[in-house]
Amino acid sequence: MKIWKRIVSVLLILVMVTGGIYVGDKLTTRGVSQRKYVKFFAEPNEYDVVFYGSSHVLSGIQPMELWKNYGITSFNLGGHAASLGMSYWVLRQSLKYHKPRLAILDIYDMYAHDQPYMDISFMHYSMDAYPMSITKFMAVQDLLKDRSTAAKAELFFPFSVYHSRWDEVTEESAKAAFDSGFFNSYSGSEIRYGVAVPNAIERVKPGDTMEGSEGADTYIRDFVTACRDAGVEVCFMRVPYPACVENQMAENRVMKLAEEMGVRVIDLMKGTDKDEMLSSVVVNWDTDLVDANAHLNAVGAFKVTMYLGKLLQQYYGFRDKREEAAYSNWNDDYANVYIPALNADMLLQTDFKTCLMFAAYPEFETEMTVTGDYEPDEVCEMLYKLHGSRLNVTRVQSIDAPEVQDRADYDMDGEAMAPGTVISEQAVPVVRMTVKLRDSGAVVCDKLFCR
Amino acid sequence: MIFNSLGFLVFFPIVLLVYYVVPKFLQNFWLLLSSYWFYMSWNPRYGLLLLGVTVLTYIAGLIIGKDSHATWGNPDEDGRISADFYSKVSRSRRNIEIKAVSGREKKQRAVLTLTLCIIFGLLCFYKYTDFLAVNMVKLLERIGLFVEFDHFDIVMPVGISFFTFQAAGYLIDVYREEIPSEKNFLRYALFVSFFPSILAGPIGRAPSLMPQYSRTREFDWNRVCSGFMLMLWGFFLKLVIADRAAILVNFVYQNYHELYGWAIVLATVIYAFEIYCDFCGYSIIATGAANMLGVAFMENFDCPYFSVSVQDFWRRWHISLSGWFRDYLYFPLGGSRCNFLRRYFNVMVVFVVSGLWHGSQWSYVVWGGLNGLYQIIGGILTPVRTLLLRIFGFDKNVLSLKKNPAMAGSMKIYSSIEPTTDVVTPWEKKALSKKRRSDEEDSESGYSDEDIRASLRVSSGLAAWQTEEAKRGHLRTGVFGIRIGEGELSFRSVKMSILKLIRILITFVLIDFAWLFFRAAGLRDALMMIERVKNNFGFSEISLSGIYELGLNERNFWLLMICIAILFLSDYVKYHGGNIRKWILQRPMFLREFIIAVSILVILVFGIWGNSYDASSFIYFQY
Repeated sequence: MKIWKRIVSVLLILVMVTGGIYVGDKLTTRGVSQRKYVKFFAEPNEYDVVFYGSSHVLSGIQPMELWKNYGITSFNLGGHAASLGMSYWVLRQSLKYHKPRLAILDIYDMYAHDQPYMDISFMHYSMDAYPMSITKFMAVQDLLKDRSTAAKAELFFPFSVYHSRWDEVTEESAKAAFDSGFFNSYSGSEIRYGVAVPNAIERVKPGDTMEGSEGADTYIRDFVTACRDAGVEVCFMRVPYPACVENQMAENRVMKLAEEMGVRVIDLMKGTDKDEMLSSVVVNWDTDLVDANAHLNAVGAFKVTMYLGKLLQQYYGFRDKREEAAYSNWNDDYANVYIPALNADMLLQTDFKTCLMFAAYPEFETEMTVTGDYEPDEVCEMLYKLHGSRLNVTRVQSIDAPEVQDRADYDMDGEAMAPGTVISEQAVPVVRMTVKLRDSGAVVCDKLFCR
Repeated sequence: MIFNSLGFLVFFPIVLLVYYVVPKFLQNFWLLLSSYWFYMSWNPRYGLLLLGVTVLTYIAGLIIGKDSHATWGNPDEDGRISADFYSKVSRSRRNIEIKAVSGREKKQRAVLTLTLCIIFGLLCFYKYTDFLAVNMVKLLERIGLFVEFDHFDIVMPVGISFFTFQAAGYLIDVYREEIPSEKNFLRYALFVSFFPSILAGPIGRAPSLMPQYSRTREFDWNRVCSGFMLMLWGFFLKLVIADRAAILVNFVYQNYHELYGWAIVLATVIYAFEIYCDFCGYSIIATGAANMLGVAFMENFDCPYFSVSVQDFWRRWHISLSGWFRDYLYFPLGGSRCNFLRRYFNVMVVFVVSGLWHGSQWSYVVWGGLNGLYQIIGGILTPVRTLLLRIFGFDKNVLSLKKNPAMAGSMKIYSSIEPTTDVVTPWEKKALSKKRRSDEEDSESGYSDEDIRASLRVSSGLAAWQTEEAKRGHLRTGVFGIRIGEGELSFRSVKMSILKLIRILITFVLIDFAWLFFRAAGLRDALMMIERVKNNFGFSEISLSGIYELGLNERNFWLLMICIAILFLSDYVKYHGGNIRKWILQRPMFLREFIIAVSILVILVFGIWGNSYDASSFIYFQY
């Protein structure tokens, strides 16, 4: 009897502690990874395309626009600061859930580090959502070869890191933690907002390559092999960015390797002519970047996605599934998840150029009332062109709009302001921007920019 | 491997499981193996050093104790030696000089001296070579001789200060014929290297530990549970309080140039709790782990911040080290049985050496010296203080802990109260007469009351009497087992309580001021911080929002305050003879399990652990 009492006692403690850890984990976890993967895991159909790579692909491709415009189903599994090794292991893990027809790997930064390389803090983004498995174990062992067991343990037991966030738990975050309705609204991708002045670019000849680590070569080969073994077609892609000489040389090396392996490379960075990279066929460096040397902004991502969609149809002949009943969930997501998310993001923007850039999305149409103080620069003029006929500008003497929803600083330097910034009541209104949904005419936002 | 590491989380359950599964005669071997594994996980080469010290002191012990007639005591299940044994010890101590002159063979004395020189030489080499060289170079610079010197690259083996002291204590005990030498090498090696205490104590004593290693240790559910609870409390102190407090303290001590004096004062007050929780936390985890393995350690901290004087503090703080210095340095120097100048000199020697033991920096020396100085000044001013208190209507014995038990904690109260005749049983009479006899002998010996009381603290006779008394109901037991003795009630005057509170606060301020030197990066930093407090206190700048900018945000700061309040409550209960751990274990099923599970979760959620923070090592590892 005594022994049973003791066993029950220990079990009781174990159950209570396990339950407590479960609740604590739910409450304190960042959940970005889980929210990213909810839709990916739940998708009943096989994807046409899954994207792998770093933040370049994460913010450079919009799966929902691929669906809306081409009827191609896709998911973006790019990760922040994801190294080549990380992309390989994301592929290995994701293949357990979906075997898309095509896996596309972005070739940015493949030789930047001796592979395997991965910053442990960024690994959570791509790993936390996956349950413990042998593949996950192997991934951590491989990517954190030289790290201590304790360091590796945080990937298997993320609570060891997140428990320190107990002081960030609020009533709202607690509710969200137990609500499965929170997920990434952009099918894995992340839209970036801002308009940046790009770095100067020096063109490198295709034959100029650099020495890179053999570790990276091995991962590239392994990525291709893993895809082929799973019956998934594979292709490489270069998302446009103002690449420095070293990066271009490294990418040339990858392209050479791809040629050897018989892998297609979709180069979205190619210029209009051989020597002039600044005049890209896909993006306009002056309007489409969110930072000087790396990432595309919303409109840049839109352009790249549209261009890529055309090529994918051309190269792989994906059929348009927009009318198929089995894919009705994609239309629902577009209307009920994607568009509301775009609207919410539009509402949050406070920087003038960013708003002008984002409003260029084909889903929107814009009315702008400006005073004589409004002085558009060249970039604004270029952004106007993106809107085409969906922008209507009216000049007035002064703007009196107490009913306007938001007031923001009129800022022409491209620096985005933090959401919620309060502008002085004395500031003089210069521009009023009203963005509406093109289909329904519903007002998405009504912003006042003051000098 | 440290206690708050993933490695220990795997290591300890395996050790525990195998320990109770293997045949009893293999228990010590398994513990020894585990201890070396534990120790060598820091650096395998250190294992050789540990083995070397063990072999050397083992052989020396055999030589020194060759003709000894001493016998082992019989410690109880809490590791306490009986009063009989210690009264013999007292006699033995009094005979040291006589033996040294007449009986002790020169060879044994030479072996003891040589062995102590070697092991303390090793300690000095690892700990003070660089310190000495740097100071020598500075000294030469003063007299115009410039010497190129780059610091020595000597890595001090972790725990060396503890296991050398433990081994030295054993040798001296053997030499004094307080204990026989240990013939069984395995048992002796385990005594030196037992993993819970090897890195940061408590510094064990052979009379208490060696007999425990001789016994076979059966699995005892209650003992394992109690040990586990102790470990939980230790982890709470370390991970939730000490490491959280360290964030604020480190921030302030690193950026004090840019902060107001009030921030330095706040950080220094919080540091008092950091170091207490850090070191006491370690000791408690070590004691809990040892208890789970069936071994009892001596208590290392006894509500130190409830001390009413600096002297009282040093009887409650790091008891195993203070006791070591008392028995092996202070007493041989003459203790307090000499003129007052020599007595004060002895006190200063002990505290300066204690300061040096804690670290090879002048700030540690100042810290030790300051604590010694407090006691000397306290001693000199005693007549003045007594006079002042008599003006306020207090008794002439008000400052004496022995004669005025209201100033002491429960243990002291019970050791001083003499029950009325109607509650005295024959057993109690025997215990009390033993105590009186012991008191009389001690007063003849020339040792001060405090010296003797310190020795008596480890004696179990009175504690046993206290337990018996409680069993008979003469001592009422309140919540958490706080004992409300009839004698205690008479001391509960408001005036006395206020005086006691004032003494506790003054003691805390003095001790905390000394901690500033202990924590500061160096002596110069400590002095600059004091200067900043003096000249730029910033009264008008004190604000809660200012506090939240010292490394801990609002929630973390208040969590720290709540946890310190819990610590205070726990110490308060313990000070009054209660035992929260025992109280929890006596709760009905479900409630008991619920409390334990919540405790574990509190540590897991609010503890500073995992990779987001660089888990700070226990402070005492560096000593």
